[in-house]
Amino acid sequence: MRLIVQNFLLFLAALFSTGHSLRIAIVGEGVIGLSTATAILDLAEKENITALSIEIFHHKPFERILSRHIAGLFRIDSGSEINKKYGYDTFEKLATLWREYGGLSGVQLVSGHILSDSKAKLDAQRESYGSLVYNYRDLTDSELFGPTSLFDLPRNTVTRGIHFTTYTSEGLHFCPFLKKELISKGVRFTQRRVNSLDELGDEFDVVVNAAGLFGGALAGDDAGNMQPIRGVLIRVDAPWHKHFLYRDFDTITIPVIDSVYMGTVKQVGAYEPNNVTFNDIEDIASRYVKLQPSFKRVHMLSSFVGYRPGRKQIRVEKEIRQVPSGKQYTVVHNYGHGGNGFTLGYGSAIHAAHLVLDLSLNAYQAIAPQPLPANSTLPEWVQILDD
Amino acid sequence: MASKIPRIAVIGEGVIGCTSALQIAKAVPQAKITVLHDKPFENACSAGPAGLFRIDYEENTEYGRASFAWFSHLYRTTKGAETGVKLVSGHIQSDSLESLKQQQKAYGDIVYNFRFLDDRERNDIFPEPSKHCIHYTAYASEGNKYVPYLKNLLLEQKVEFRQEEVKSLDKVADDGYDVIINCAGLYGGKLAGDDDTCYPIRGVILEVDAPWHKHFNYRDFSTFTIPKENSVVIGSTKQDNRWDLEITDEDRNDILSRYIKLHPGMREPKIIKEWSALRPGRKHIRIEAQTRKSTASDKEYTVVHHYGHGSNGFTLGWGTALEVTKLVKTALGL
Repeated sequence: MRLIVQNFLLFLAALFSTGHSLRIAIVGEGVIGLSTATAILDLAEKENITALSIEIFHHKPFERILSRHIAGLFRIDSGSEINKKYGYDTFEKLATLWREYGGLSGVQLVSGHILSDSKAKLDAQRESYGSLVYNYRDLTDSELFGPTSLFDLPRNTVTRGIHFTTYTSEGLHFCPFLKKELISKGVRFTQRRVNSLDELGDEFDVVVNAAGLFGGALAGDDAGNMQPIRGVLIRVDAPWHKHFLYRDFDTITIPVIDSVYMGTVKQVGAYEPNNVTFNDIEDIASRYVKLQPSFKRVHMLSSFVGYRPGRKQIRVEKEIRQVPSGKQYTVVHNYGHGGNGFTLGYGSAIHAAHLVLDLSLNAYQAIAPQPLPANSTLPEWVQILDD
Repeated sequence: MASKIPRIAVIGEGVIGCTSALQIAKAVPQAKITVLHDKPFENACSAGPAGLFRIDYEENTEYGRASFAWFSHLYRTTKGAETGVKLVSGHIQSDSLESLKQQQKAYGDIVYNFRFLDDRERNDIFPEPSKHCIHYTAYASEGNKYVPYLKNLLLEQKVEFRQEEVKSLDKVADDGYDVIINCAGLYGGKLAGDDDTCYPIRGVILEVDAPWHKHFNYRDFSTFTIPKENSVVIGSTKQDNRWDLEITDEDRNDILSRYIKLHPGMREPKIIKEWSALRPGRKHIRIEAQTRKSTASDKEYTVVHHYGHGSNGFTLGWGTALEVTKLVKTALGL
């Protein structure tokens, strides 16, 4: 009985509220778009903001967007303060999902190792996330070399390694999980190609630009600051392989829920070939087999080319714009995550949600970087890749 | 006593029998080895376990150390799909710091990455964690793949396999064998004729489909999961002196309720298989050579006992087999 009265009162409040419902549009339903919507609803609930609605726009089917193919191993690449904050917040979210849902949310607890000949790179790992992940430690000599070691390495004084336990949030399962939760909370999903932010500025109060690689072009002033970073992943059949293993950061395997991803390349600025080539496979396989000889002749199931949305820094910024008819609207950018969409995505979404809901930015003020200077030069790859 | 070509019989084709045969085949290449088995492999105790490396008692530490080196060699050189050996990491929780310290003493310096978790880690990973938790990385050699792999290696070594129920060691000697390795597990004492201390430790496990679960996860030592290649094992029971193998609802509810309390994320698991077996319990593992004389033919022969591994056959088998191999060589005057 009390619930009925409560709902009725809420309905009346919505009907007669002098501040109208905040209409939010989000462009992009990859991990960033979905995370931002989730973070907005989360934060709104905490702050008791009930009058809002969200509609998410996408034009490519999920099978053809970058997020779907990503293994999403949590590992913070750069040590910038803002990235550490984003990483910290993302990790907390992943841990919460893991405790509550286990693997059903697409989140997995995974352990593994990283080898490198560069002490500086390994020190940087410790600096960036050593105290955030679990079980972080340096490998000992006998773990690295010799008859009881984990690896097939000739004894030397240069190669070192680390071990830790972290999360994966693979796009294939994590994104649909977020989407399902959003739909159950009334978020609408619309297939429609959005060519300009103004297009949505007419109907919405806030437009979130989570258009990834194309976020800069959509913003109108930032296309020249983006660049594709070509990556290749091979899905292999290796169900006995329960750990991630990295040699530096390009020769990797990551076990996801139903398979193992082997990779990769990081071709900055490259936007072709659009398909996986024989050279890609030979390059990746030979590098990886050198790291783990028992993977020779592992059975390959499928492969994939993706373009990471590279940018010098993630763009999480707010601006007021005006449509031709004169109506003002707010744009909140959240794009440019490079290879860190799943490690930093949720944290950046929380930042963006603060901007969308106009909440205090104390946590971000001191650490948010200066915006990059505008660069609206439209590179050739935008049209080639945005089919 | 030893003929030109020593004839060796290994009784039992479980993990202990196959491991013994393999080592002897390599150490005494001139020997003709026959593995005698009575049950089909699927019904043997070795067919079901996930085989996670974990040592219960310090007295077995050095056996475990030798096994670990062997698994490490297999892991580095051969695909896990072939050998059944995989690298696994995981956690063991307990309210008893003492019991975890005991684990540390038993194998902390053998396995990889052994450490105690701090409070933050414990509370982050586990809802309602125990007071203490350890983490380590080691090998799991799942019986349904690892033992058939050993068998393939044995066939390559021209070791013969014969289905034959063995009721008396004397009879095996009469059949022409000079050295007999008694790897009859739970029935090893009975076969030996001089040992009535073997007892069954009933175990039941459920195999579930949970490919997102990549770690072993224990609370104390009877409530756990261990990932296998294509499934996850949830276990177990450790019931001394029970001989019944039928899996009851009581077993299922007991195992699941204990585990799900530890790991709520595993609630409503998809059960694909159930399995029960009797672990070959004994106070200590019996590794002992005896010279005997067949009452029927007066033939002298050596029997080397190699049984009683309890829950640790996969962890310790390679190490104990090394000692058995030494005894065999001594018996053959090598």
